[in-house]
Amino acid sequence: MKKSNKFRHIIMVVLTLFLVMSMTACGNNHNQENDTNHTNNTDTLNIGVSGSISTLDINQEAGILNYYISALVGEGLVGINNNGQITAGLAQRWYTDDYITWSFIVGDNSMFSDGSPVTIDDIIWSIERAMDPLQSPGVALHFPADIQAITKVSDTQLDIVLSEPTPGFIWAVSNVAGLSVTSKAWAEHADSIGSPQDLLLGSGPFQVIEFSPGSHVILEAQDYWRESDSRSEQGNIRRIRFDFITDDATRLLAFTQGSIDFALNIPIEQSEQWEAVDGAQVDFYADRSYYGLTLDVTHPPFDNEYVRQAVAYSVNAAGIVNSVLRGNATVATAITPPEQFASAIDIEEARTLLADVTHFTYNLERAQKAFDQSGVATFETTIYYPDSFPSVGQASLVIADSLTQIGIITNVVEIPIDQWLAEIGSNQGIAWMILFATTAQPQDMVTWLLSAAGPGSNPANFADEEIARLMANVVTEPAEAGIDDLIKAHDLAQAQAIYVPVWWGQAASAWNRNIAVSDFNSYTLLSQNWVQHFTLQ
Amino acid sequence: MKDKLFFILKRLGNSIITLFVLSFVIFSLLFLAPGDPARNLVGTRQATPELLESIRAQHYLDEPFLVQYARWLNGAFRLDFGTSIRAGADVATHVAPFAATTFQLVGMALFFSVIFGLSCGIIAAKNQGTLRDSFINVFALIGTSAPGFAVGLLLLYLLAFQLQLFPMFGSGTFMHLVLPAITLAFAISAMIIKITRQALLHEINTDYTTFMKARAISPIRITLAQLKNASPTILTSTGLVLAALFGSTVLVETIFSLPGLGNLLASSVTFRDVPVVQFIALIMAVIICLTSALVDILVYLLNPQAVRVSTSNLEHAGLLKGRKK
Repeated sequence: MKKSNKFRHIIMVVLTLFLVMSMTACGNNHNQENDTNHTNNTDTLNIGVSGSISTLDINQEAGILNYYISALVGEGLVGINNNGQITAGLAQRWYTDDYITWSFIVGDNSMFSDGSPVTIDDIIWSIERAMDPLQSPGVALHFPADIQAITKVSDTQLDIVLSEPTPGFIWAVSNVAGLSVTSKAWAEHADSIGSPQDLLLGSGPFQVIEFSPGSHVILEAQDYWRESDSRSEQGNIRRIRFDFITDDATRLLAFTQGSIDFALNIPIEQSEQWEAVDGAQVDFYADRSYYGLTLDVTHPPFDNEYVRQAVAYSVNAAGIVNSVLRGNATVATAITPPEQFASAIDIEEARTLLADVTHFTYNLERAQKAFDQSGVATFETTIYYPDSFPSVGQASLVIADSLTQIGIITNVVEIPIDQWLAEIGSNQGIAWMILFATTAQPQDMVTWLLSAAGPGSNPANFADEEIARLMANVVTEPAEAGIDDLIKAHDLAQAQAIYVPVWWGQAASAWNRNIAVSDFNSYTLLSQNWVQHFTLQ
Repeated sequence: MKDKLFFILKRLGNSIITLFVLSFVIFSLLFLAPGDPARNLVGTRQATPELLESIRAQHYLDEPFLVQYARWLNGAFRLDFGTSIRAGADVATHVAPFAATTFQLVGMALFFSVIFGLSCGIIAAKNQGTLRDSFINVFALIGTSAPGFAVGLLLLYLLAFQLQLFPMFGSGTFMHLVLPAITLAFAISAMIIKITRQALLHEINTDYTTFMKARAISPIRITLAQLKNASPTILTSTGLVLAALFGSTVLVETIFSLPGLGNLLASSVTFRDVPVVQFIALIMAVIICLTSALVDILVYLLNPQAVRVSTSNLEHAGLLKGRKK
């Protein structure tokens, strides 16, 4: 009898422990949404993304997903529209006569989501924070090093003075580059801005109401937004939920079930499966990315221009786009894709200009001839590619096969992406360069690549006075005027086969019949109040 | 009593030394791994060497290895584990919600595994050679050989997608943890079944079982006695299972998009977020060491004779010096 009671006690203890554990699991998150009924909320847009963020603060982590969220929650002095062109943000107007002194006139009707007004002091504090590389490693590099002064002129105006004319400075204070204004008073009391404990405080159309790193972010329309009266005309979405679903098979199942309405960056090789979902629409669009080879001119024998030409002629870009990428990319004729010029010139015009930039079309005979002219004996080299980009690995194998045929024995090695990042420009011979633009500034993707001041200044470690001069002009000229110089700089670098463009990338997004999406492109999720492009049906 | 206290203190002391060694090894491996957290923060954008240097200096990554380790160790003693390079937040605060998810998941999986594994193991042993035994053996075989990701996807498809009994992804409620816990428990319970069955079969074939039966002692009391004697093997194996459980969470958390330690560890290793990786590794090491120590202590308390016998065997072999009676 005694033993039997003991046994019963043990069972009781185990069951109690289980009950407590279960209650803890539920109770810890009692204030969170019930995830099982996403689609029951008729005013919620559910977005499934494959990546994840660890903070909402773009100053700390400046990933593209952070920017998408920040574009709804925060504001810079300026923002961009759906074509990538600069548009008013907190500043209703701005002017500069010499591109040195910039004056911004801020409206007095902007409020943070806690109801406090946005002041000039808040803006100045946010700019100073963004310029500090220790506080803002993600965005500080967007600001020129020569800012002389940031001055409060009145309660509605601030002036920023630079030491040199910089027409592109306007991008630095946009929310797609360096500036998301927050409340100084709030931030000074926050332990860690952008963490679940200190959610972002901004003046955008939405506010963050919940953030669980690695799991989800929930945004809700904020009533203090200065244009909240126009909301009814712009759609019926009051909430946006981003779910971080890292496994693609799970994300596809969730999409099929209707748990998510919109999926960003679906794997292109799985696009047919997504299209097969009842009522689904898959949209492919140029994502303003560049994939190409960088040939380090300080690394023998790539210091020999003929060797570089041999490599450039050996790259079968069209074959890679058709076979490896199944046509879901565009053969690149230059580093910068045409869509990146949208803020300055028409995309078709940009396409024509870029088609004329010197580039090497696949031709193994010419490759062999160039290699023979180089006088370099057969040698062995290695192409390293980052593990997060399997298609780049497959493309490397295609290129390696061609190179081996002409006498450059090429190995292909996969390395972790952080190692790849750390080794860019570190004297590797042939290296992959993968770039994604965030701002719509035409020179955004080449400021580093064409900074031709010699070793250390660019990933190819090359020096070229003419290219350096042209790029200096690009910085000091207004965008439209700088296009010719920018194209010419591309042309000079590519003629020397320093950079070998391979393809401009495409991304694919899918949405179900619960929503309608209009005018979606690579700028949409960065543009101001981008939710207006979505309608719940 | 003195013996017991000495044993417990010795076992805990061993755990602390193991933790020191582990923390040093993990720190060394991270230090030697290629990559640059400063470059990870900046990405493929132009950054001056000064900017990269200042970021490295902010996180003390420019200091010599031993200085960095000493700094970390000093902080760890004060429960200050530094700042996450990626999130810019206090490491302990940043990791806490991830740890809570994983602890709940592992706790639930362990509970399922132990209850199910023990029950099936006992039933199989008590019915050796019958259809029930064969059925349980086949289940255990499938459990140990089926890959975790396949089981997870199958459960996800059947129970979350087709029958819609469980949420498909995310976290926040008890229901979010059930499928991942079952996925984890599937393989683990199979191991416990095999171990329990084997250990119990050994006890069933002993003389004391025959004598107890001859004295008409109730079957429940006989089973309890057999379980008590088999407990060292079962407990020790379950302790090891806990370590395996933590190792398996990465895959399961990815499939079910659970924000747990496994997912965070994987992304932090990729990013070379050293303070976060070091902290997670430390948490896991502490749990595994403590579990191992607790299991040893529990086994000792349940059956001190077994430890004394093994100690006396070691003394005979001359492996323990200075402890002769």
